Amino acid sequence: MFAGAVLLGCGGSPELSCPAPGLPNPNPSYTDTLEGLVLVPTRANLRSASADESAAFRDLAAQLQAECADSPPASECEMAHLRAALVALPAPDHPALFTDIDGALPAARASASGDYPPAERDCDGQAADVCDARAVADAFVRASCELGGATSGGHS
Amino acid sequence: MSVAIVLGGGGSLGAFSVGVARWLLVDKAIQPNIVTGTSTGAIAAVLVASGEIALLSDLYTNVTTRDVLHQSFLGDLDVVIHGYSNSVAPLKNLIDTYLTPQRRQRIIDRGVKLEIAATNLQTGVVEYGHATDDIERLRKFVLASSCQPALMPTIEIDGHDYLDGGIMQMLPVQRAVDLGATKIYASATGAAPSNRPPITRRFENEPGTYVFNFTLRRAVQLMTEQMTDDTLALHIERGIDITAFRPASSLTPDPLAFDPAEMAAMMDEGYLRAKQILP
Repeated sequence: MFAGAVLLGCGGSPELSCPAPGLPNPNPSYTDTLEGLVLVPTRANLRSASADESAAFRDLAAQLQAECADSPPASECEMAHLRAALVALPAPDHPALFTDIDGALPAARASASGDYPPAERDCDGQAADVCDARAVADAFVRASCELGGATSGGHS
Repeated sequence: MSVAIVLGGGGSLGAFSVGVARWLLVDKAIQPNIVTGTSTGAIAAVLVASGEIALLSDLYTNVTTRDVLHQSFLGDLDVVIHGYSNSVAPLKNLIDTYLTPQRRQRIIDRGVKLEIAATNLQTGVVEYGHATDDIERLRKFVLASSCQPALMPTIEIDGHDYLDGGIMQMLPVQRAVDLGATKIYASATGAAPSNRPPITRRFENEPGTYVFNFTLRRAVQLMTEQMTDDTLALHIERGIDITAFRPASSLTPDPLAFDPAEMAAMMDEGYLRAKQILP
């Protein structure tokens, strides 16, 4: 969705390639839409994460980003694998953290799918589970990037 | 059942309502027949009505102050020279970019009644722009709906001058009722009275534009919060089926400063707040 990228590294963990900020395309594609729909609940839930939980999620996001960047994508770039890896992340301080993020995925996929018939999706001929995994991985990356160094707040 | 989503004003604080809308439209799969909006809620209402919540949330977490307002090198002196302190040329450009004829048609095709509130300064009543209006007229209504007095210019529509719908309808619930809504989901950016603690800032009688930058803004905030309180209380008293979403405590960012990180935080809060209120 966004042009350009910056690298964000953190003490030996995998590096994320963060998208450069910018106004969105007024005519978003299917994957833009799914990414945007997944981003909000992911970021919202991550705000309560501990430092260790955030780091675990960031590592997963970086791993998924690498797996989905290949052409064709690695076999791990697929929804079932992505969801299994997500809910398997350790969350000792907030046990529902990653299951809540996972729980928001079906509604997001249903919403995006409802708006874009298969023929209108920018999936480059990939299976739906692969195409969706790429968009979800991008949302996870953006959530991690946007929260990098951010503090929760907005209130007096 | 006729379902309405009502989005109140509040500048950048409108990101809270975007988070609310994200929960309602996607996780709860609510499909409104009516969408009303004032000010920042007018801009959001367009994309809620078109069902493009991902685009809306992306927009509200990437827009910056310079995408919305322009203040010349004269700064606050523009109030004396032009009668307002900020040009809305960037906001007009933003509206023209995202409120396209195709998007307007999409709203019509979905059968959603879009109602954009703006205040007619001549007649003294709130009037509404609709998706069925000519595209330029609808764009003008969205722009006018967002223009705060003194801080932004008046917008001419059909020979009359319009400003922020929030002057009289901060939360346009009544419009939804008038159109037959039987279930209303309303999102306001101000906290409920019991969640609004006093502030410590003093408002001295300083010379220059202090009154515009601090005293007037505080006065507008108090008036609009009271209007929202009264609107909700009145409609609940009348037995309207209304679910209201408000922040758990006052949102502190400057409503006229558009900071992506702060807006993302408010959006996330809106999402979680809506999830809490309507699980």
